[in-house]
Amino acid sequence: MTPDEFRALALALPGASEGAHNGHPDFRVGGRIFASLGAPDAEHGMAKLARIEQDVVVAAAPKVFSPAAGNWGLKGSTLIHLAQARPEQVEGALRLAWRHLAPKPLLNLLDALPR
Amino acid sequence: MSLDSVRAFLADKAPDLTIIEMPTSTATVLEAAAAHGVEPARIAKTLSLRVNGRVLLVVARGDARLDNGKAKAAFGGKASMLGQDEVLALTGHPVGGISPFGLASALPVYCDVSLRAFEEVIPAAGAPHASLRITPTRLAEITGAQWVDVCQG
Repeated sequence: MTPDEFRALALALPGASEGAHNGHPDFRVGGRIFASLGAPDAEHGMAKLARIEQDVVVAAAPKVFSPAAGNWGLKGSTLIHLAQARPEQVEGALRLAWRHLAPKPLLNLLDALPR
Repeated sequence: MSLDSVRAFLADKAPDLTIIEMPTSTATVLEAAAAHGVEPARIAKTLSLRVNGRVLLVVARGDARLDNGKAKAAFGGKASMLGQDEVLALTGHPVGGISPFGLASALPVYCDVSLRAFEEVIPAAGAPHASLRITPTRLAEITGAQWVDVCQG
């Protein structure tokens, strides 16, 4: 998985757009960030999961998923090691993150997306 | 692709088995049974469960229902089903194609004894139109599954 493939999966989600903060790209829905690239380094993407989701994916796939450092990680921000991740894993994590922030009218659109 | 990961898994573990790709959906037990012309019970469904923070897969016959008491006894805690996006993130397989083969994460696999009622069962193969025919014994063998009794009946 490359950063561009991560970007394409993030931007395929309904209403998703690319922004930037602190010098690295982020992905937003309804103006709120659900994922990012380039932090802490170019080898990782990040998806904002719920803590219970983070606990599960980190425990089951520790080579792919790890909590972000500090308070961000404690709140569910989860790093994705791009070189270790299959596209479907990244897609699943991005969909989880997107669902937490997407406005209600967009939620139904996700399940209607072709897969 | 998820289907490719199943192909690679089978090439390594069971090269004689063939993935059957159907022109129609095999995403649900009923659809798969109709497509293959078999009774729904012969479809081997893969349940994705969370128990005490760990994730595990249970393969059971298509008409089986998880028995919460048996599952708690077997796995040491209350089992809850994972959501479709968690399943995708952990197995690499989309809902409708969830399979115990070619997993993205090294998840433990269990086979429910309900599968043993049949000489051959039909699990999904990583896509909502793909499946394969396999004996329950071999399914357990190539996935490294343990046998459990966690379904009703």
